[in-house]
Amino acid sequence: MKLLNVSKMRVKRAGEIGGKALSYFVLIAVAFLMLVPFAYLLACSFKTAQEINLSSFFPKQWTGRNYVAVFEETVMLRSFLNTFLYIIPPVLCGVFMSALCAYGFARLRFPGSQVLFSCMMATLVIPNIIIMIPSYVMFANFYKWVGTPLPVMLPAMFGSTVMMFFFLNFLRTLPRDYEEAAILDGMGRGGIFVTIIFPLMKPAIITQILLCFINQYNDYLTPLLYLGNDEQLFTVQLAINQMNSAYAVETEKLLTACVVAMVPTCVLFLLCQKYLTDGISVTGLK
Amino acid sequence: MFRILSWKQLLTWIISVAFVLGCFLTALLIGAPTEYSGDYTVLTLCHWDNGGKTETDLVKEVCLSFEQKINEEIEAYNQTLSKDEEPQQPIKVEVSVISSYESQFNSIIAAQNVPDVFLVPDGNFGQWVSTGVMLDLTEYVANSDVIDLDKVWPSAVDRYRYNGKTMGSGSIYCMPKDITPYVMYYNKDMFDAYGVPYPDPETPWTPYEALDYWSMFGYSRSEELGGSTVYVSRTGETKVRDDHVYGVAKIYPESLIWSNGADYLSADRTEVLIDTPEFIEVYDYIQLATMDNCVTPTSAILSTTSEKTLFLNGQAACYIEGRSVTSDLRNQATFDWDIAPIPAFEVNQDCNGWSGSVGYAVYKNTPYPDLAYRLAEYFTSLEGQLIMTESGFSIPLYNDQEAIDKLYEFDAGQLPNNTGEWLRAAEHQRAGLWQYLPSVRWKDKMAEDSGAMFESDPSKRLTAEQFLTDEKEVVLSIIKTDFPELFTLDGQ
Amino acid sequence: MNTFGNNAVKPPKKKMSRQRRSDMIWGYICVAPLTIGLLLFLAAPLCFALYLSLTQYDLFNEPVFVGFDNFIRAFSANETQFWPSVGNAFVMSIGVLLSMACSLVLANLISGKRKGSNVFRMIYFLPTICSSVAVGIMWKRIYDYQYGFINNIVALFGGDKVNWLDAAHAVPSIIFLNVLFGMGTNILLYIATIKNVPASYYEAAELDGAGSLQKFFYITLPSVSPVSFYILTTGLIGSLQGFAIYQVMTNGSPSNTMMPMLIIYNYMGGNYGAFYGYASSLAILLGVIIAIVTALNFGISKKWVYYES
Repeated sequence: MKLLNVSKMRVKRAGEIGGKALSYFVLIAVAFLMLVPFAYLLACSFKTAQEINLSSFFPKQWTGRNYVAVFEETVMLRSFLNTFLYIIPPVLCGVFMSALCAYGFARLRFPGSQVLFSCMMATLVIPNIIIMIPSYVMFANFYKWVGTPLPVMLPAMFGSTVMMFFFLNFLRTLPRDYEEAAILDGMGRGGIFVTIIFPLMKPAIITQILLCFINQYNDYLTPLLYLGNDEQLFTVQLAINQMNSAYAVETEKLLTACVVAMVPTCVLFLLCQKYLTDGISVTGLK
Repeated sequence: MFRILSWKQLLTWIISVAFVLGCFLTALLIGAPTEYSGDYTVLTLCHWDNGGKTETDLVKEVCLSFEQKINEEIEAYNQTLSKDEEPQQPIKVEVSVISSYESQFNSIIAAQNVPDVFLVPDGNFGQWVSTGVMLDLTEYVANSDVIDLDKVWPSAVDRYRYNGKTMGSGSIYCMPKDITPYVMYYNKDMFDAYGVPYPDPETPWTPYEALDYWSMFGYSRSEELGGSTVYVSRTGETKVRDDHVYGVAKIYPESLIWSNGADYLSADRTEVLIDTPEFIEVYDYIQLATMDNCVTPTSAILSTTSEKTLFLNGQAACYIEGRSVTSDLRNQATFDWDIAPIPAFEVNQDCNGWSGSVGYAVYKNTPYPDLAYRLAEYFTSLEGQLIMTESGFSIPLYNDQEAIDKLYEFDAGQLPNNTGEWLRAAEHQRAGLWQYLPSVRWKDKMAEDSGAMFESDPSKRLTAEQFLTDEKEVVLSIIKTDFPELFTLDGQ
Repeated sequence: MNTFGNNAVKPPKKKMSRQRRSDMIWGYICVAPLTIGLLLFLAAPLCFALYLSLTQYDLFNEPVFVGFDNFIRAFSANETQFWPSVGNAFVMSIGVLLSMACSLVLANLISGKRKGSNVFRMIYFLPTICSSVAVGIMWKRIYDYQYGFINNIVALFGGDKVNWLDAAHAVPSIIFLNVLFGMGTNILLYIATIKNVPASYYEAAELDGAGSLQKFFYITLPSVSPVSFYILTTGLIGSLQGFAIYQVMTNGSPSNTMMPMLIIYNYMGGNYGAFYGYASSLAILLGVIIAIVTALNFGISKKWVYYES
């Protein structure tokens, strides 16, 4: 009886090991499928113009010339500078404003707060596409801002409802003890937010800054619509798109530019993986 | 006791706020339109990159030459001034080259920073002129002592006329920069190998002659060429092999329709004439050539390989294209080639196709309309044309001996040998179908629907007559939707 | 929403009223920026969208009020592209379902592992943070007919080269890329949810003799249904508004990869001309379609989403 049991367990264990091996196989195969395109792109970026159309995966003669060319001959360098200039203020300012708003809803009582909150939640339902065209017309014809970075920067500086909601959920988990002590000390609400709440929200803030940064860095449609045709104003996404749609595409440089364009978000991801994965597990990206 | 912020926190806050503000201001400074110091009068011009680097370089050269010319005039004028009169400023022309020009242009309008002079491809002329961004140049041209309209090929100027409803007549809105006529390129080596006589350099083949000659390719390819296979037969084997040799890379219906005395739309664009017997004959012919004789690839094949690739790889003996590919062929073709007229019916043999063109328009609200017009005009003028001839794809816009000599001189010693064909084609060819109406939806729809005539299954295939009779209503309804004003105003 | 307001402490009455007043003022100050932003950049354009859709407008000349002509045109037989493109977008949405299924399986595999789970999570998430433009260009090259990576491999094994982006293959090709590169977020969401399923459920199931498949179907699947619903809803919304990948890879040719967003973009001064009024009415129609899909999704969700307690 006992013997039988042992052999049964052995069968079970063997099955478990087999299942484990199979599951690792699947995981590795998918990972491989995902990494191969990147490896191909990276390999191509080291090929010369003569070699780029040959079928070998790795270059026969490795060259770093494309990377030099991308920065020297195209607007890539300028577009990196532009992108950071365009997105840092909206990201920081927007995150701050969203956190501020979340604080207002979570801790302060004022007439109309419930109604306002419901209205804000309702805006989440409106598809972006409806807003796109009238915004464009308004920026183009009322404000005359098309061709400047303002339409890319300003709207995001006021914060966003999604971020606000994220912060609100975070604030609800925070204890109120510190604030109450501060109130008894006679500290104003503004002071409490800046000195107590904001530092306490640090993990959430960092997560949102990162998410916001990645989203804005990768945004293509907004700059495409608003930045016009002056390549000195281009963001990274527009710069690579311009190389892609040029009449005579230089494939090796285009692919190199793609590698370069992917680097900032990838580096950020590798450095701040914990914050990002935590944030995304709660809100999702894009 | 009321310390709201610690020093450290305060400092962090100040630094981060300053950082954000700094970024914001820098971004704005970059974005703000640059103001020029008052030393120059700056004229702006925008151009596309479709012509490659040679062309953009030449455009810059023309602009530079214009700049020098005007500045000499200004200097001479300033010399005559007395001391207390203010001298005129010299000018400076700024050229910006824009990728995917046609789609970018509307954002240029939206940004309200339209350059003083801008490039207008004739295919976009109708759409752009109807928005009212272009200055009416008729008066300027009439008063100009540089341009003689009688000498310029009529089709080069007429395609930039607009009368408020249709193109082709009315006021002039652009100065043509170039004209690129269409011809038939042919691979002499292949003609030799298959024993096909070269086409006549001056008289076009009739379509049926052409069909006979084109049919000689692809059936009896000789062993010496290394090919050991027999190709698709007339007897209905539908799968076309990769190495099938075509007589011609693509047949354009327009050249046959016009030369057969037919047309797509009536002159006032309110009637669709695609069901006339002459028109149907052409579509029948194309169906025959594509599906039965297999002398030209189906659109399914052309969607994977370009006509140019077919010609360069020796998979098509003839290739109907504009002057713009000449420099590519010079660089890339490994065989002997030349040009001949595009096959045409005898009814109206001269009108055997369309020519492409781009022109320069002047922005309606430019601060310097006179100067801007002179710059646009300079491209059309003899001086500008002589410089541009070197680009290798523009044909002189004139019937002017000096310009023609320059073309012969530039083309001498290079392929093709039949230089005269360019001039014949430039003189007679019309503007393309896109010039009929400001939008091309009607013609796109027609091209899309014509797929029904080229179904691989013969039982599903429509005949030309069936297709065109039905399509007439479709095209008419599109025109009625897109351009209701054509119909209402006429009724009143 | 009983978390609003501060009612934990009860200071003396006089002080409370002052405190309340200051709270009120600070409350308005706190919510003001976001409210103003939403009014300026969301509410105002929203109202303007309705007006714009009733006009003919090219940005350069004054808008002309045309009533419902734009909508009539959109529904007339002459609009040959928009409705097929909406159909295309729905076909592409198959990718959302596939991606959901694949990521659930992968997430389940990963969360059962001790070793390497972090590495896999990282690799699977990597494509998600790369820009769609760069990813689009990369895949365009991989799918290229003459020089592409896949056709190189096909040629290596002596097969016939395939045109991956022609009418017959473009849809599966793009769906494949969307699924493969769109799983990152979903996997993270699923892992987080699966981890939160109480271990006691599984232990109880094991005592009842349930195999791993049974555990997956009877415990994991119901527990992740709320997240699946979230993924499905946001995925469909995103898929119907897809733009960058399609513009970079095919730009609407072959016609079964033409997306509604591309058409709207082309009417905004792109290749189809400057018809901002018409573009706006198409955008509103697309918005309504998205709303209907979302509402349907909510309706059906009652049948399959299992909420705890």
